[in-house]
Amino acid sequence: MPTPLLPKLHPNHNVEQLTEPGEWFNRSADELKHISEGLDVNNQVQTQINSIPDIWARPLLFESALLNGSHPLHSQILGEWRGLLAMLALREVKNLVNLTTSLVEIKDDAAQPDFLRALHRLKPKGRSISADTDWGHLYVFLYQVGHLKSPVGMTSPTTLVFTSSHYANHINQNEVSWFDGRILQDPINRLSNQEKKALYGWIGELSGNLAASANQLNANLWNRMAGLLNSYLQDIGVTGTFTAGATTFGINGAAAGVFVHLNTPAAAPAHAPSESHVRLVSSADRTPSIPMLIVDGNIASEWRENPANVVVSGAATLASIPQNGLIQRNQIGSFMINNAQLWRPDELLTKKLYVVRQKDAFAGAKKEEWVGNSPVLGNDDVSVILPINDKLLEYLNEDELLRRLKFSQGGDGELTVTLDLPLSGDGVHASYKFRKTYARTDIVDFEKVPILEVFPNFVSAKWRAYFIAYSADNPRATFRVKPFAPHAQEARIAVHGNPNAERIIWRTDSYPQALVCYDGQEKAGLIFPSAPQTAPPTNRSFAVGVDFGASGTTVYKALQGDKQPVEFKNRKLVVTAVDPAQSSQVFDFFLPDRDIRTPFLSFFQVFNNHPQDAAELEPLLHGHTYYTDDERLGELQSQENIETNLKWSSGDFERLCAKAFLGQLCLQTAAELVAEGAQSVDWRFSYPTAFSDSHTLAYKQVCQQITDSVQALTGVRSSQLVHNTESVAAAAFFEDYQKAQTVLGTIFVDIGSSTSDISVWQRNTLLWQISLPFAGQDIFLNYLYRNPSVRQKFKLPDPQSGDNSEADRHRFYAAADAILRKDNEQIFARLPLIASQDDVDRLKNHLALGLSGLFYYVGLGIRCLREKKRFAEAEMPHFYFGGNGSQIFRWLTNGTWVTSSNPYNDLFGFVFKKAVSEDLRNYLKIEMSSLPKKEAAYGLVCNAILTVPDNSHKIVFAGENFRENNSTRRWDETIDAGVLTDSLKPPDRLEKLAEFVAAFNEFAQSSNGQVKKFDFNDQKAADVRSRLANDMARLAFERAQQQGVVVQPIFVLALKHLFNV
Amino acid sequence: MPDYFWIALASVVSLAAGFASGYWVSRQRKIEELEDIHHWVVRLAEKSKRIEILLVPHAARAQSKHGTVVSTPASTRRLIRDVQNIIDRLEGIASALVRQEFNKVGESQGVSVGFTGGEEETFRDAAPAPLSESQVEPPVEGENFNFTAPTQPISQEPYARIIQLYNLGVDDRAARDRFRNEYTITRIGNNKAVAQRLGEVSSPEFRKLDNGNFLAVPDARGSFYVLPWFDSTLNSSAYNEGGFDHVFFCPGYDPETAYTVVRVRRPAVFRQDGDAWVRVEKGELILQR
Repeated sequence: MPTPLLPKLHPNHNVEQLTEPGEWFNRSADELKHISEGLDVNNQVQTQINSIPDIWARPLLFESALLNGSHPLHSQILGEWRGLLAMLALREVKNLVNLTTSLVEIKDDAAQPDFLRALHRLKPKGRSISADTDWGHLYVFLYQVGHLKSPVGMTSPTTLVFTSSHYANHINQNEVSWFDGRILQDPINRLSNQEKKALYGWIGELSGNLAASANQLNANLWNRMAGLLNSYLQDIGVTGTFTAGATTFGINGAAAGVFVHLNTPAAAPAHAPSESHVRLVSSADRTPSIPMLIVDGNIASEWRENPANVVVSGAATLASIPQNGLIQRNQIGSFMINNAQLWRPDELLTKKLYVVRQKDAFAGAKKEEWVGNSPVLGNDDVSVILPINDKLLEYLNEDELLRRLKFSQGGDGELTVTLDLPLSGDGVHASYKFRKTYARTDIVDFEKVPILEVFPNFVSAKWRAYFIAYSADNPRATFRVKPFAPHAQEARIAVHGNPNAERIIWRTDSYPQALVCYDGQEKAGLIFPSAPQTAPPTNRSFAVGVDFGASGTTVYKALQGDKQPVEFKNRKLVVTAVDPAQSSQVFDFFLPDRDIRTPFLSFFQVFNNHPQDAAELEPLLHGHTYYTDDERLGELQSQENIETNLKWSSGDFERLCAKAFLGQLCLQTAAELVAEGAQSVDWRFSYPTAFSDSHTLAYKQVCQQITDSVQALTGVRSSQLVHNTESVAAAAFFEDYQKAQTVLGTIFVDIGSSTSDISVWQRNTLLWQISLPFAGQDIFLNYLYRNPSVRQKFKLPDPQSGDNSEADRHRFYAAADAILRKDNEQIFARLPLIASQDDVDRLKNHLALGLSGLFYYVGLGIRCLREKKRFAEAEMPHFYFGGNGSQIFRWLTNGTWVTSSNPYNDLFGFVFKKAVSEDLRNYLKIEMSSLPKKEAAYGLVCNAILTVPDNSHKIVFAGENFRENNSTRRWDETIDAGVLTDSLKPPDRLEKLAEFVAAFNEFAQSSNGQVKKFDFNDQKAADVRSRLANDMARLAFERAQQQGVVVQPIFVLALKHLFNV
Repeated sequence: MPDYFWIALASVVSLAAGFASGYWVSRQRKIEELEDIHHWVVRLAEKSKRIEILLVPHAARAQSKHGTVVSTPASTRRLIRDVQNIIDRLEGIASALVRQEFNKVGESQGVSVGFTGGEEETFRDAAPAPLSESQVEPPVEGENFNFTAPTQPISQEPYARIIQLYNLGVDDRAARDRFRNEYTITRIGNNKAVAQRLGEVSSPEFRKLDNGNFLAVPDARGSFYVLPWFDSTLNSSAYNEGGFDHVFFCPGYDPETAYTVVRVRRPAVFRQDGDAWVRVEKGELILQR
């Protein structure tokens, strides 16, 4: 179809015929007039004719079409006119910073270029709306797209403004939504209400300003212009008032005429983001640092609203979304958003959906809602990681997020997620449901879940220590996580033999509301751990006693006189249902999946992830208490990095481990007490008098630091910190629990693993207390270490190397102690069946000798007290034995202990009398503890009526003669660390040791073979003496090196060697 | 070593050699003999565990507290491990020979016993690797110890296709999906893993578990081929509490090592007995760190 270059001429035209196409003809200026008058413009011309070579034709045509309602181009030109005025009016509102003006002065001045002079000569004459507005002083409207500024319109004295003939693609559609890419359209339907109000105000202001100078106006033109402006106002549909913007177009001065009324655009409405319609409404417990504005054109569709009416921020609306949909955090179209962030809803969901091929894989997590059936992948049930960007958690809490999330599965296996976002809304709508469908190719499946656990599983107002454990044997097969917490302290643990494995513990100060999952570095969504339990109100005051033992540790609590052992409940939240092959690994690096009863072994496993020269080991992060009472005891010795000599070691690292062990103990204890409503705790710790002064001081300082730390972490106030000796604490137990009388004379002996804590009482007052470093290890376990046949009989493990090194012995002691404790009753049941066997017989004689030595030394002590007139009675004192080592008595008598008709009872009484005096009246009566191993911890929290003098009567009687500075000192002298010098030597003859053996053998002689004599000859005596000399030299050296040494009775030092010669 | 160990070892080796040379005539008799040998090797395997317990009860995972490996009775430990490897292989061979003969009986009686096709590649991949001389320590110094690998093509095994696809799926997700599309999978695992970790002395108890370590695929005889769940890592806890030790021979397994790539040389065979899944025959794994 031909494109007309010109309209037809009407029949009566005066245009001289142009006969030859492509030829130029000279005509007079009137010819143009003839052409314009001869054109048949009333015919329906659907295209703009602009081929008339007249520079002024465009404004004239524009005028003609605009002012003539019947002009075929009127509708289009009216739209363009309105569109251009709207651009001027809304320059600030729409942030049209690319719209500028440029003055063009058209003068017939010799200095002007020929072109302008020609324009001047051709400019329309006498056609202006106002006398002060001339065609020689015009403003061109320029619009910049990219680097190119193009004229898109101009001022006109007849129509105020007109648009260019060609400005296609010269205006950015993303900025001017009523530009269709070719021409400007009537903007009314593309504007928000706010924009309409601004436009209304501006047009009204323009109209009013023009009317105010009506006396200068061309009435005809003004009337038609006023009509156009009024109809524009009416069509806008809303009313508004004009507020002048802060900028101008530079159209000013007298020469500008009426154009000055175009100079000032309307001011942008001062919207704060809170007035946005698309601001994400936060949960009540969230205070995000910056508002989040959700930008999605579909919001308007869902609300059935004009996008321009959905305010994003200020003048920016959803209509401001660029056609390519791209937005930046702080920019939409030409609008900069400074005090909010823009997010597309698809950014709030993960790019891919991650699932685990396992039903209910997140057993300890909050469950999402499915519309229809639970999800499957092929034939496998799957569990979904919530595909949420953790950014949303700054605004919405996990419960609200979960409530607003729905899942469904389509017929082809695709999974659709619907996220119902709460928005500030427009007064009618207040949310937006965003849907995203993940096709199978967008679904990533994991085969396994990692170990994922949280401790503790409760919240309390002041509790600030939560631990999250993660472990994956093969991170390729599963996902990684990080807790959603700002200050999570992270500790990575190397897994022996598996460099691929990933094992991490985090400590956070709040319960982890969410765990952020990763697939490699890619965020894979969230898991919301199940809601924690809520601890009861904290209004109770407890007392807690901690008996830190060499082999086992016991903790007791007391509430208003009710004393109970502390049991560490399984207070973990197990988030993932790991496969059976993995589940047991958690024992090796976190807390076990069971309750822990007290006492438990004093073992601490170090992870070797602490900084070198660490001044502190954080419990659970750098190591953990190795709870093994009933797990893999046979393998105990081969477990890695287990510290078993926590109590007595003087090494710096072991001391750190001991502190971490006690720290975890107190933390777990606090967890138990918080679960019972604890507000405050009296912490009470026992210690042996055998600790050197420096060790005692260090121990007390450590306890103070731990309880301070626990108070800070748990909110449980440490109301008091008390220390008591183990011997006094054990005495308190016997007095309170077993109603022991301490008037006439009572001796309490707590045989632990490494010390026997002895206290002697009369008239309810402490006369003497001592921790003898001669206990279960020396009497019993060391014998087992050296005798494989006995071990075999009782199914005890062998030492790992058997090299007699201290480390090897300690590992063995720990394992044997644990097994003996666990299998106690079975062993005693078995004992009578094998009791007559030689091996067992020899063991029992050995145990009898050891215990006799203990009685003998205590007897020597009583003798000293009697000689000093401090022990007044001549009655045989009453003995109470406790501690795990007290089980040795049961070994002697095949599992039971009775005083009467018991040759060993007679033996001990005989030996004791030999040490004290033959004149002691009555027979020896020994009572066993009803709660072996729990005495000291119990005693710490009970209120026994016992008097402990200020000096505590910590006396070490030498028990054997010795030489100092070449002079002999007697066995009944007291000794302290000052005696440990190079001048300390053994006596020429071990008189008291010999007397003890003689007493033992004398009884054996008359026991009808029930007790065997101990073969002690001169050669053995010399051997013991030699070893004693070595001990003395070593202790003197250690003291000289400023090492805290334990002051031991000379008799006990010698007694230990008696077993080894 | 106890005498029965060497007797069983020699029996299996001579039997294998006998089969290779076609010494046996009666196939049924062969099966009975082989089953007998298989039984003895299984007993031998159990005894070897006991030997390990007796000789190195606390073997080898010790480290000093600062990470230095403490010397353990390495020579004894190596010997035990070598013996166990040999036994594992022997059991695999004996088991394979039993099945092979059994299948031949089925074929001769016109009974379908499963997949009989397979490619040569599959055979080479699936067949137990012959033991090298260095892997077999002679019982008495100077005594000759000859070993002949079975010559019958194990690619005829009905499970050849299953393990081929499974092993491909270890590295290739698409193959894994094909495996899942091709076979109906039931997930099973040791229901007593945690209890055993807590000290319970009992045999593994296999049940259908959502988080089991194994996948079971029905075979043509109403029983099931059992393979590790994809992406399983074999380490000491998987081996012990996880039940891998009960389900598979794991040649070369070292408890101090974790194997993150686990392929199958031969699937285990289970039967279903109510809720219980009972192992009928041990499978064999190919381990890779």
